[in-house]
Formats: sequence, C-alpha cells, structure tokens
Amino acid sequence: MLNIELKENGDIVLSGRFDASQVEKAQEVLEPLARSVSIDLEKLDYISSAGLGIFIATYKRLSDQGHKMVLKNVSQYVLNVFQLSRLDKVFEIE
Amino acid sequence: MERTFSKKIESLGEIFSFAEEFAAKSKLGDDLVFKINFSIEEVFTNMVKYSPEGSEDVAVSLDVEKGRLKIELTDFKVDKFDITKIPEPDIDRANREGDKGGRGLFLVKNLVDDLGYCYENGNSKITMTINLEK
Repeated sequence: MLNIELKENGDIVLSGRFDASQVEKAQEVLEPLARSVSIDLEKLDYISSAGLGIFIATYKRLSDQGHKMVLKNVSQYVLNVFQLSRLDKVFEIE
Repeated sequence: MERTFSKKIESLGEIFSFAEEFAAKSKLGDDLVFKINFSIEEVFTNMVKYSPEGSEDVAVSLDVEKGRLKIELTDFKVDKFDITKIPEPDIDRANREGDKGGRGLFLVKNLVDDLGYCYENGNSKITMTINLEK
C-alpha cells in the first residue's frame, strides 16, 4: 500500500510500496502538480517500474514547465532501482 | 510453494504476502525479498496487460534448491510470447523522452541471474533464478 502525505510546506511524503496497483492513487496527487516539489522517500520501501513511470512522467512535465522535482532521503533499495534504470542521472536526488 | 492468483493488478498485495511468507520460511534476507517481489510484479503485470485472454489465474511458484532461488509464473491458455526475445530497450532515450513504460523486463534481467521462457500445452511459463551462493 502506498501512503501519500502533503505537508504544510508543500513537500510530499511517499511511504510504503509504490507498485502497479498504486499508480492511480499517485497520479491523483502528482498529475495536478504545476510547481516545484520535493518528494520525501525515506519511508518508501519499494518501487517498481510502474512507480518509476509516474516519477519520470512527473519529472518531465514539471521540467518542461520550468519547475523542479527533487527526491529526498531515498532508501537503498529504491536508489538501486533508480541506478539500474539510470534515472539517478536524470532525477535530482538529495 | 505454489499458489494461484487472479490475473488482475489488485492481486499484487496478496502476491507480495505470499512471497514474504516464503522468504520468512526460507530465511531469505530483505534484499532477496525485494528482488522476488520486483521480479514477480514485473512479469505478472505484463501478463495482466498483454495476455488478458486465457485463464483468469496465474500460478506463482517459489522454491529454493541447490543454492538457487527459483521464481516461476505460469500463464494458462495464452498465445506463445517469448519475453526473452524482446529487444533491449533504449533506456537512455526512454528516460530523456519521459516514457512511462518499457523498463520492467530490463530491470528484472539486471536483478536476476537467469530469465527463461517455455511454452507447453498452451501455457507460458517464465522462470527467473537467483544464485544464492555467490
């Protein structure tokens, strides 16, 4: 299950598991974004290619609009998936 | 251990629970649990998306034997489609252009030691193995 929290400062916190069954839930929050955003992934234990797809689409859309998407506190397993897909060279990761 | 699951995305939660149950019984660490869950999800979601015909269930089998972890998914009564023959995607182009899909099998091939396909009696079986003794 993926949990999504919107913090007062505008940051988004994703926790749990970002798998294919959670794509619609993530899209509801990420697709309407039209501003720079920081997404905290400290408590995100798992991501599959479906989750990557949502991140890359969000990143591309925001970049094209002149905004930034920053991923923070990425766990080792999630970072490993980013590295294997070479998205660690695309995403801004803190 | 083998179990069947409905061929729909909503089955992923149950599949992960099954994988974690197996991992606990086999005393597998978190990194292997991640690889098992990831590999199963990518192959299973491809079956849901690309072979919606056929049986309503997919069989998932997990086994450890002679130092190898074997993950098998069987899709019943479907057309033959050998996923091992799919050309490697241009990942860098896909990333540049913001393509949402096309990375799943590429990533699985990087996480497992072997990916195999067999078609028999109208059933597609995908087998992934991870060597536990390295």
